[in-house]
Amino acid sequence: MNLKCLLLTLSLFTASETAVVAQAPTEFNDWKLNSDQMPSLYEIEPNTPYDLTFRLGHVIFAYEPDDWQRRGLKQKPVKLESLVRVGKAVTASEPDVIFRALVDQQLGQKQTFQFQKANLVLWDDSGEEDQAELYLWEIVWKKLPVYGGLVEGPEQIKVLVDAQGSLIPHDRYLIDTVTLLLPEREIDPEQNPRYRKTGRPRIWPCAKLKLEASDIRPEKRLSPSEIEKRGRQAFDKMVERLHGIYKAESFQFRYVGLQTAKLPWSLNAEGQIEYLHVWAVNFQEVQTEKMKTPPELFTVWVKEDGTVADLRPIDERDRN
Amino acid sequence: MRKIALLMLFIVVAAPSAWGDPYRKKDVDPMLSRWMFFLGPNLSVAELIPGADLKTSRTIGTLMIAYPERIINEEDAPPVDLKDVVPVATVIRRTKPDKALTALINLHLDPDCHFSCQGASLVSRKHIGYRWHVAWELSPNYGGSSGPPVEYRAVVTAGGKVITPDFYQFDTYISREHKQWLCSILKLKLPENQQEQKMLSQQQIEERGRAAFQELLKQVKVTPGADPAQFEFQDCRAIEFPLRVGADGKFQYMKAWGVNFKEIPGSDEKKIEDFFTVWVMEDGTVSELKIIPIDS
Repeated sequence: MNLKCLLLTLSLFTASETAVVAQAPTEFNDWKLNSDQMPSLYEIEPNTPYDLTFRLGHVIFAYEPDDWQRRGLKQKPVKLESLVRVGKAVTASEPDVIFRALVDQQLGQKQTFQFQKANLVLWDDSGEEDQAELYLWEIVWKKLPVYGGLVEGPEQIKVLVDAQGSLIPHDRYLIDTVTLLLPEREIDPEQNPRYRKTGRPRIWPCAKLKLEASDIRPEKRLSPSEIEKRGRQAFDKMVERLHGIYKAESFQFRYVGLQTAKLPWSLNAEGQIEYLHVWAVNFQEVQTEKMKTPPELFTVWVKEDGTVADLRPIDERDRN
Repeated sequence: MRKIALLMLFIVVAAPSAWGDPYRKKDVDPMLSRWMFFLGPNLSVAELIPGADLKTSRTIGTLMIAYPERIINEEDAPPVDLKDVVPVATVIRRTKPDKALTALINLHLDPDCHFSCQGASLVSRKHIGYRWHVAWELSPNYGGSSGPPVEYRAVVTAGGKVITPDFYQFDTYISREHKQWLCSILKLKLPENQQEQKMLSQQQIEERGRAAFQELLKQVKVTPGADPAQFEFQDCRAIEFPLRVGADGKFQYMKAWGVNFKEIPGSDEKKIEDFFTVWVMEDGTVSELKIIPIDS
């Protein structure tokens, strides 16, 4: 009787422990991403002009001109004479408090920006002289760590300003990837050994969640259990797709847990930073072979309203 | 009758070139067309023109458009505030290459080219201030491509002053025996007072050119045991470089003579087609002649 009682209390105790964990997820705060172990930005976000796209931590900043047109944001052509003065364009593009806070968070280090260059860009050339054209200013800012040292990420960032002098905000994507190693390539006896690729080919599950300005005030907020369910469902679908890929049939994963994350996003009326909240639904590879390093977490990003990141495997073998 | 028919045919064939087809230009003088896209291996702008700014200076064939570093790096006085920087439209209008520059460049190019603006950038430079850089790219008048892009880089201060580059006509020659570059660099500028200037005869020009070239050859280091390369005089002819459009709308030219020398091949060597040009101005001033070792 006594023993039974003890066991019961014990099990109750452990049950309540897990319940507490489930109620208060930890905060996601390691924003570093190892760029050597990643697919290229172009593979993750193929629709944007390459030289205008950059990544800081887990956030990709990009411009998607085709998308502007789809959304009816097409810029008005102007004559060169009525283009906004360069000084105004530079001022409009200057990194503000929010952008700086986001950059500092993603790089884990305080950064400062110096104006470097303003390029006049002809976005869509009509070929006629003295005609109204689609001009933009491309402003190049040099990014420097305040306290010196080396920082991950690009040294320069580019910001676009339209002909009327308004900043064109970047599209922002929250991403994550993890490297999976495929078995050794089979040797093709016909192929010249010189051109044979060495090393094990990689495959990257990749999560990409487009963040919108409006996400800061979602229409609904789902419960953590509902978020977890959506994240796991989407992940399972991606794993199914992964298993359909040649030689990738045997990868196995386990669910690790839920975390919360917040990104500096806007200023409120009092001039304080407001944060965008997102959920990190984390998974980990169950490794069948012994590896030097423990498997990294893979995060499926889910918005508060339940919008799940776009998930897809990127196969290194698809590169030509 | 047959003769007349043949004659007619001849006229029809010959007419377009003989009777001034406006689309056909005369061939580029070989003195001007020697190097098309580079100065020659191992040679940089800075070696030919010490103190030239590498970021903005350009060569188009044997023509060099060079900005002295001293002027490019000159501080804006007083400094111009970012909001007061001259508008880009003004900058592009002020730097549009005029007829004289287009003609000067086309003297070196075949086919004829025209300029189009390929972009303008405001560059922020520490200690100097803001500078506009405008890229004027050359493309053939009648379409097609002339290979790698050839451009003229215009530089304008934040206050709107166009920084004028120096123009040079240059030649470089390498002799296998010498392992050295022979260089000839002539600064192109209009004579200050054309009337008072003394003009030398062609023979005097040729003599000056020969004498200067002999002096240059004396400085050539010869590999011990090897025979020094021998040169012979080839020819001498004048070129008129259009440098400015005058008030009357006509070009103002600088006339200079190219005195050409050809290497005499050794008994076991093939004929050498290449030659070296010593430039001599009408008043007898000889182009800067110097030797640049290949290894440097």
